[in-house]
Amino acid sequence: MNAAEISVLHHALVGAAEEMGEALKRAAFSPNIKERQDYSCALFDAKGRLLAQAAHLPVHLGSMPASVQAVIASMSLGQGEVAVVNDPYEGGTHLPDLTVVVPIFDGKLIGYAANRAHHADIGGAAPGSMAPQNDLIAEGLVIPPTLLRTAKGARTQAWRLILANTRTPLERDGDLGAQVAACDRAGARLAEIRRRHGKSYDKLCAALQRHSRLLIQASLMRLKPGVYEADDFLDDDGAGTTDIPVRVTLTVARDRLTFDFTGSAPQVRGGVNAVRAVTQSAAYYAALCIADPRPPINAGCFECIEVIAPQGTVVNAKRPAPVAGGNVETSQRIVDICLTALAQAVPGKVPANAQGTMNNLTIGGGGFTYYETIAGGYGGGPARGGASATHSHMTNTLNTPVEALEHAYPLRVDEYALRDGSSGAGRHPGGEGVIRRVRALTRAQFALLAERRRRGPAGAQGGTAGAPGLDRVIRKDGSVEALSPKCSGTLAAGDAIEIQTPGGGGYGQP
Amino acid sequence: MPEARIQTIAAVDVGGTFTDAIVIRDDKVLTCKVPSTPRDPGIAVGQALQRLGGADLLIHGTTVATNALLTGRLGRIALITTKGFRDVLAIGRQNRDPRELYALEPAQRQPLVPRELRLEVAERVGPGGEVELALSEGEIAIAVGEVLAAGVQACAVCLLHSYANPAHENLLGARLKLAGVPHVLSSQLAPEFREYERSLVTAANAGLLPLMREYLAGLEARVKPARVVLMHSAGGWLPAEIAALEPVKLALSGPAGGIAGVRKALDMEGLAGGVAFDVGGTSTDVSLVQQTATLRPVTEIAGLPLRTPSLDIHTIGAGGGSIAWLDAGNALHVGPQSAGAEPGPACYGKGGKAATLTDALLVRGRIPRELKLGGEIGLQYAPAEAALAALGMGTAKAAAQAVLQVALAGIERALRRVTVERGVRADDLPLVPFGGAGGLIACDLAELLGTATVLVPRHPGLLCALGMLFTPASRDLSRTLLLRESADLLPMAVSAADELAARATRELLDCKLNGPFTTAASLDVRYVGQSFELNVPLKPDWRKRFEQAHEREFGFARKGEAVEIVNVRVRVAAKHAPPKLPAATGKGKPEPVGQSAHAPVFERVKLGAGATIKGPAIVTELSSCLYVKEGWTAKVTRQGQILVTRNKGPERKRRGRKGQRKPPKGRQ
Repeated sequence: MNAAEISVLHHALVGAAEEMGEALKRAAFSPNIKERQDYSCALFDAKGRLLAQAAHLPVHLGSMPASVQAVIASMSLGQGEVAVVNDPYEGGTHLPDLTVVVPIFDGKLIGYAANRAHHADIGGAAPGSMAPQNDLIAEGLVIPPTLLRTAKGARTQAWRLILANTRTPLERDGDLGAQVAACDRAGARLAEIRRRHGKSYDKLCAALQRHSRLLIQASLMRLKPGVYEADDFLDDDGAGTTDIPVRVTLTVARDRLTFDFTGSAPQVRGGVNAVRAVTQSAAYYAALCIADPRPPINAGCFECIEVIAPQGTVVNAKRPAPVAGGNVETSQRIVDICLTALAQAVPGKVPANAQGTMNNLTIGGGGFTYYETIAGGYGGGPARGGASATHSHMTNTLNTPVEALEHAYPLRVDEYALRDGSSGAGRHPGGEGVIRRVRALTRAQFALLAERRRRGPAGAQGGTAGAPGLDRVIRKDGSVEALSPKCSGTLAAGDAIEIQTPGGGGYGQP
Repeated sequence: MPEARIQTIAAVDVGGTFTDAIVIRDDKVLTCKVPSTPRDPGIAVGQALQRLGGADLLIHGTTVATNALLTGRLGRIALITTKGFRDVLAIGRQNRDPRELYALEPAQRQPLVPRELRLEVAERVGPGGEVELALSEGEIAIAVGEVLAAGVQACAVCLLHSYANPAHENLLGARLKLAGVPHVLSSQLAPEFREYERSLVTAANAGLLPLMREYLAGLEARVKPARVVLMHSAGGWLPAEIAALEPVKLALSGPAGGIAGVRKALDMEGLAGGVAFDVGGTSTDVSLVQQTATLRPVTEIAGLPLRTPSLDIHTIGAGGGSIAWLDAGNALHVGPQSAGAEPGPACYGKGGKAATLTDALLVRGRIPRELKLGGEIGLQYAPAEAALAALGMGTAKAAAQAVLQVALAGIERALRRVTVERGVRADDLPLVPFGGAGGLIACDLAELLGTATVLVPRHPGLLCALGMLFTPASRDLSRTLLLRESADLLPMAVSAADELAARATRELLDCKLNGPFTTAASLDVRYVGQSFELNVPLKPDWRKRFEQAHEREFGFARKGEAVEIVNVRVRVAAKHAPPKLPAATGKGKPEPVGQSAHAPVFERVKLGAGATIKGPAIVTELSSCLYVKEGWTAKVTRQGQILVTRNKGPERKRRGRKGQRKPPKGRQ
C-alpha cells in the first residue's frame, strides 16, 4: 500500500464518523446530547473491528467495539435492520448509554455504523437511572441486543417497549430517532468510500489498522521494559463497603503491554462495578495517552495491548451486579492506576492524579429529569500546572448552561465557581475543582454518584494531593446536611444541593 | 451634474502576506497587491488606496480584531457579573479541546479577564426576566468604585438572564458612563441566552475596544477624505462609528468579503448555490454559499466560541505552504505545520527544505515554471524537486502525486462537512475555487465530490476585496425570547423584531446613511426540549416553514409537537446600486502562450467570452492559476468567468448512477 492511500482512507473514514456526530447532535432532542454532547460515534469493518472514530468520549469509544461484537454474536442483521443494546453484560456498559448498531450493505455486508448516547432516563427506581441501587434491575430497563427497525424500515415493538419504560418518552423517542438517522447517514458514506477505493478497499482497511499497530508498537518500544504495579481505592459502593481496592500489574515487554487487574476487589453490592468493556476501555485510553506520535485510532491500536481482568471482580463484574457507577467512576480510578503504573515506564511524562470522578448529579421529579456531570481539577504535570474546572480522562462532556438549565427545569443555580484552595501544591500545582450549588423550586428527588471524597487525588514527584470533594444539602432554614458520596434524597422547595469537586494533585516539590 | 454624485468605491482587504485593493473606475477594474505591514496594517491600506488613485468610500476588510484574539493581545478590562458567577469565563463549558482528548496535560483555559478583575454584584433575574433580587444602589457604587480603582481600559457587564431583562445591566451601564468608563453591556451587544458564550463575546468586545479605536483613528487620518467602513463577519459592512464600538463583529471581516464575491459570481451565472473554497498559504477556508446567506450564530476564533453571527466559514489547517511528512508507520501527512511565507515552500528558493503542497503542484506541472506569484515571487523547480525526492517515496513526481492526494483528502473532508452540516448534498452544487491556489486543485475536488461543475470567478486572487464592492451596509441585531407557542406569540415576536429594526435603522441614520433600507426579520425556532435552533423567516407561516426546514436538515419533523421561539433576528440593510463589472477583454481563438509538462498554458486576460479550452490546460492570471484537468473543459462565460465542466462520457455515466448513492430509507 502506498503511503498516501492510508492517509486518504483515514481522512475519509474519520470524516464519515464526524458527519455521524454532527447529524446526531443536530437532530437529537435532549440537552444531555445536544448541549452536553454525551455521545460518541464510530465505524467498524464487516468483522466488527473498529475502523475509525470521531473525537468524542474515551469511555464510550473504547467500549463500543464490545457492543458491535455482542450484536454480531446474537443476531444476524440484514439490510435496513437496526439493533440497540444497553445490557452491560451483553455489549453495554451502564444502562443509560444506549448503543445503536446499523449494518452497512453494498451488495454484501461491508461494515457497521454505531453510536452511543447517554439517555437522561432509562427507567428503574429513580429518575435519571443513575442513583445508587443494589441490583441491576432497579437501575433501569435492560436491553440485550434487540431489533429496533425492520428490513422494511418500520419500527419494531421494542421501540415502544423502551418508550413505555422511561419517564421522558418524548425525549427518548427524539434521541433514539436521531441516533438511527445518524448511523444511516454514515453508512451511506462508508458505502461511497468503499466504492471509490474499489477492489483494494478491504486490503486498504487492513493496512490502515496495521499502520496504527506499527505506530503503537514504535511508541511501546521506547518504554522501559519491566513489571510495574499500582493500586488505589474506590471510596465506597454506597451499600456499606468502603475502601474498595483496585490494582494493576503492568508488564512492558518489547512492543506489548499487559494490564493485569488481578488483586482487585470482588464485585460489590452497590453500583460501582465495572464490566470488562469499561476496564478495557480505561486501559486503552491510558495506553493512547502515552503513545507518541498518536496513531489513527482503530482496532490496530489495541492488538498489542492485553487486558486481564478476573471475573467476579469490580473490574469485570458478573450479572446481576449493579453497574451505574462503573462506567463513570470506577473507569476513572482504573485510568489513575494504569497511568501511575505507566509513569514508571516513561519517567517524567505522566502528571499527578486528576479529579478522578465525574460527580454525577441527577435531580428529578414532576415530569423532569436533569442529569449533569461536574468538572474538577487536572493534575499538575512535568510541563505545566493542571487545568482547572475541566473534565478529565474518560469523559469530556460539556456543562448545561445555567440559563438553559433554569429555563428548562424548576431549579436555580446559586453558585458556579472555581473552588479556591482545592488544588494540590507542587512545582506545577493541580487545577482547581468547582463549586456548583443548585436550589430546587419545587419538591424534587436527587441522586449523587461521586468519588474521591475520602482521599484527594494524589500528587506526584513530591507534589501534594488535591482536596477531596465535598457534598451537602443546605435546607431552606439554613441547616446543613453532609452527604455521602453515593446517596439519594429529597429536596423540598427552597433546599439546595452543593457539590464541591476535587482539585488535581500537584507535581514536583512545591 | 449627475456624474458628480457617483461615488468611487474602493475595497481593501488585508491578508497575511499581501494587502489587496480593487476599484472600478471608468468601466475599468483596477487592482493592486502591496506587501502587508503587520505592525500597522493601515500603512499598506493607505499605500494601496493611493496607488489606485483614492476613492470616496473605502470598504475595508481587517484582521486587526482577528489577530488580537489569536494572539491574546487585548486591552486590560474588568468584568461585572452576578454574584456567584465570576468564574464563568474560567470554567467555560468544562470540556477540553477535542484535539486534546488523549493529552496527558491538556491546556488551561486562559480567561480574557484575570480573576482579580472579575467583579460580582448581588442581584438576580430569573429566566422569565422576573427580578428575584433587586440590584441595590450600594452594590452598584461598590462595583463601579472597584472598576475605577483598577484603572482598566474598558469594562464588560454580563448578568444572568439579562437577555430577558436588561434593567440591571442598564443601571450599571449608566453609572459606568457617568464615571467615564468605556463599557459593553451583554444585553446590548448579544442579548442571547447561554451565559458563558454571552460573557465571552462581551469581554472580547471590551478587550478589543481600545485597540480598534486607535487603529481606526489612524486609518481614517491616513486615507482622508475617503470614508472608512468595515466589512463584518455576517457579510455586510458597518460604518466605522459602529464598528469601533462592536469590534468583535469584525472577526471574520476578510473571509466574509470572499463569500460576497462568490455570491456575486454565482448570481452572474444565475446559479442558486455553490461550495466555495479559498486555498491560502497555511489554511483553507470552505463555505457553503446559498441563495440567502447561511449565518452561524457563533464565530469561533482561537478556540473561543464568540456569540456573534458570522457567515458559515470552516477553516482547516492545510494550504499551499503545508508541509508533507511521513510518520513512524510510513503514512504520509500534509500539514498542519506550514512553511509560512518565510522561508516558504522549497520552490520559493528562500532556503525552505521541506516539501509543501505548492512544491508538489509545481513538480506535477500544474504551475508553469515561469510563473511569478503575485507578479513578484519567481518559483524555482530544482529545490522543489529535491525536497519531494527527499521524502523517500520514489521519484519526485510520484511523491508529488502522493502529497497532492493526501492534501485533497483533507480538503474534501472539510467540504463534505460544511455541506452535511446544512443537510445539503455536495455533488449537487458547483465548486467555486478562489485564492491563489484554489483553481489548481478544483477539478480533482470536484471529481472526489461527484460534482460536474467548477466556476472560477473574475480576479480569484483578489476575490475578498472584489466581493466587498458588492456588499451593502447591514446592521444585524438579535434578542432571545425563549417563548413557547401561544396565541399572542407571533405578535410578540413581531413587536420584538420591530423594536430591533427601529434601533438598527436609527443607528444607521445616525451614521449619515440615508437608505433606502430593507429589513429582514427571522426567528430561531426549535421543538420544546431541543437545544439547537433553526432559522426561518418571520412570516405568519413560520411554524410550517420550521417544520419544512427541520425535515430538510434532519430528515424528519414532528408535526404538531410544541415549538418555541428562541431568538428573533433582524437585518437592516442599505440598498445601493452595485458597481458594474466590465466585460471580458480578450478576443478570438485562444492561443497558448507556453507549455508546462503535458499542458498548454493560456493567459486569462487574452481569453474572450465563448473561448473554450480542453483539459489538460493551465490558465494563468496575475493573482491566481487554474488547472483544467484532463476530462474537463473550460469555457469563458459572457460574464468573463470561467465555467469548467466535466466532459460527458461513458465513465461519467457509470459513476453517476444515482440510485446507488441514496441512503437506506428509514422512517425516523
